[in-house]
Amino acid sequence: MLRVFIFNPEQTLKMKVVVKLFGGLKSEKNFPIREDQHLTVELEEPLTVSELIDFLNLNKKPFIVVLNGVIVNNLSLKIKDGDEIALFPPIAGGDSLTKNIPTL
Amino acid sequence: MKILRINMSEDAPVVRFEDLGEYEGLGGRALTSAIISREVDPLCHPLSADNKLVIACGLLGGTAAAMSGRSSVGCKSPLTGGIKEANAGGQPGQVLGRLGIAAIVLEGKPKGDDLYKIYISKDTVKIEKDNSLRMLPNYDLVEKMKKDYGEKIACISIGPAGEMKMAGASVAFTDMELRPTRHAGRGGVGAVMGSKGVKVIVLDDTGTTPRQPKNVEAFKEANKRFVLGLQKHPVTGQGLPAYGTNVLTNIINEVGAYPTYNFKEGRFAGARKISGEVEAELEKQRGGNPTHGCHRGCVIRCSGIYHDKDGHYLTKQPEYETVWALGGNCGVDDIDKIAMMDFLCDNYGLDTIEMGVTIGVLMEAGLLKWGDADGAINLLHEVGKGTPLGRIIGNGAAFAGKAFGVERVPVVKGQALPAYDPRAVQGIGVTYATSPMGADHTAGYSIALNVLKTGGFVDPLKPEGQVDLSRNLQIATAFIDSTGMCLFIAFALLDQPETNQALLDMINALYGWNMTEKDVVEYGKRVLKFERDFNLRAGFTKEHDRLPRFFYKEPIPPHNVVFQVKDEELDQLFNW
Repeated sequence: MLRVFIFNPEQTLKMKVVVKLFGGLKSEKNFPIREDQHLTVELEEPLTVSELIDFLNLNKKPFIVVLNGVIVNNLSLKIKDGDEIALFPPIAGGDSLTKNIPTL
Repeated sequence: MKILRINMSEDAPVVRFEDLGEYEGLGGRALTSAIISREVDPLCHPLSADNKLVIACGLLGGTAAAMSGRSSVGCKSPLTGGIKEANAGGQPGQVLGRLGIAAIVLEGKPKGDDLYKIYISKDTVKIEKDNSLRMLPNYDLVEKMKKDYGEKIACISIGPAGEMKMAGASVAFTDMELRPTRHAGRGGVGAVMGSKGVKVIVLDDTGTTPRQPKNVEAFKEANKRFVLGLQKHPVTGQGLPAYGTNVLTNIINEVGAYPTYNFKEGRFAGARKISGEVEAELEKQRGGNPTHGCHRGCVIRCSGIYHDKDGHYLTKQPEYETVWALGGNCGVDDIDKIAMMDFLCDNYGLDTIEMGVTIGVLMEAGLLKWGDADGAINLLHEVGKGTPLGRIIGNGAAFAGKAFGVERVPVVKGQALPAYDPRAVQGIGVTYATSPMGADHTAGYSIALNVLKTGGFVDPLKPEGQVDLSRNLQIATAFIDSTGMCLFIAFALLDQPETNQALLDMINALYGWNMTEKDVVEYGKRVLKFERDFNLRAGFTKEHDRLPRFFYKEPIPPHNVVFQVKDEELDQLFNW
């Protein structure tokens, strides 16, 4: 019998992501810690930034999200293999994403 | 409140108290900039008898208001050639206010090279020649003052750098522990104090009480709301107390805006080792303290106490800009050596930002290798000793860059750029370029919105919206700098309208005013107008409101961007 193998990258590709936690953020899970103290996280399926944050099971909710050096406001962005994501708690910023430049 | 004028030109310096008169309603930066703009010849030599040094407390100085301990030091700057207001924490601001002094104005210049000390208490102003103080570093000087005048004093002083009239010299303000750790660092204000022959001003508020508000109850109530607002906000209530300003190292590094190797790269591999998180942990382990106010009445407590490996006091917790300038900017990732350099700068009386950038420029020149912390420490000793090389370094990055033939010198109006790359955070580039102070991050701290998402978010990598952002922040900052409030209250003010209102209510209750937010804007604009006007008369043109050209030509990794805000847009900043 001939078996047809259909390659579906969304189902089969394991992704490795570097997660950097700052300002007292800690994951409750035991991810491998790299020499530079950052975490290597393997994902079975592609996740959004928001889903990754949930998956990490952090002690505090992160507020500033930096994906490959760029500040991310849209948490539904998909994470790609090899991405680096840095998370900061709201220690370094306010909670007013939706506000405009202050009018003085 | 009075202005205390001391004319140093006569054999016996002349002291006179004056009413505020035309300066009524002005405090802090508004007062220093108004006096300099109105009374100093903009074309004078900054070290001449025609320049004045103004030391002012803020509108709220000497009251029971939380966070109101900042002092402003104003003059024509020997570094920029323009107007200068350098701002410091510490105890003297509060003490000046309690003594009923809105500002001390040092005028004229002694004929000889004698050094003077000035003692001010409730009833006396005593000025004495004291040449035994010559070339004393700030810590030794303050120890001597404690022996002479007791422990209940606050000191404003210069170290050897100020005596040698170096353009990188600071004016030191003592903290709660009576250590000279808080500095009006920028623009060479210490050199102007040195040119007046004044080594130290000792303030003694024995027998004084806090200034009484016109409406005591309203003041108390507004102060309470103000404090609650600061405690509630994540930056002023959690981030700054836990990690101090150095919490920024990891954040600025991650967004690729951490100027490394004299502004060649936007990330530093050793950033984590010198971050606020590591600094705070070391302070806890070694018996220091990561959460400490720089003056009484501070509720944010972003300062700290740094101990060496043996558990002995080394310096106050080095600030983010210091750790960056003498650390990452020079490729140095040893936090203990950076702390040692912080101590040396405080002791010799030097601006840490100017010194770090200057050493980076010298590393670029090949005088020492990137990351050579011991070499950098030696260079700071050269400055303190006043050797010919030390004098080149002590006069700042622009001066040293010329002396060593370096092209890439990160200065605006002669003043070194601080710890945020203007290509990766374009808003701060606008502030660096246009502030009347020269490159100064505090003049319009766009990082709050470009990175920290306080008060909103403006994409840091794009030129759009940055001029409006910087303008609004420069206006608001000019007002905050005039109140005597620590600028860090701005994080809570930007996010919480009720905290903003509490500040206005406090000022209104103190003076019996009816100041509104609209008045705040007008106040800030007025301050900037004093400053711009002085600079125009001193010969500044729009061409001075520019970044060095390499920021427009050299893309900075990792984002590989250049500064993109157009010159014509920069010229619109003061067009309101």
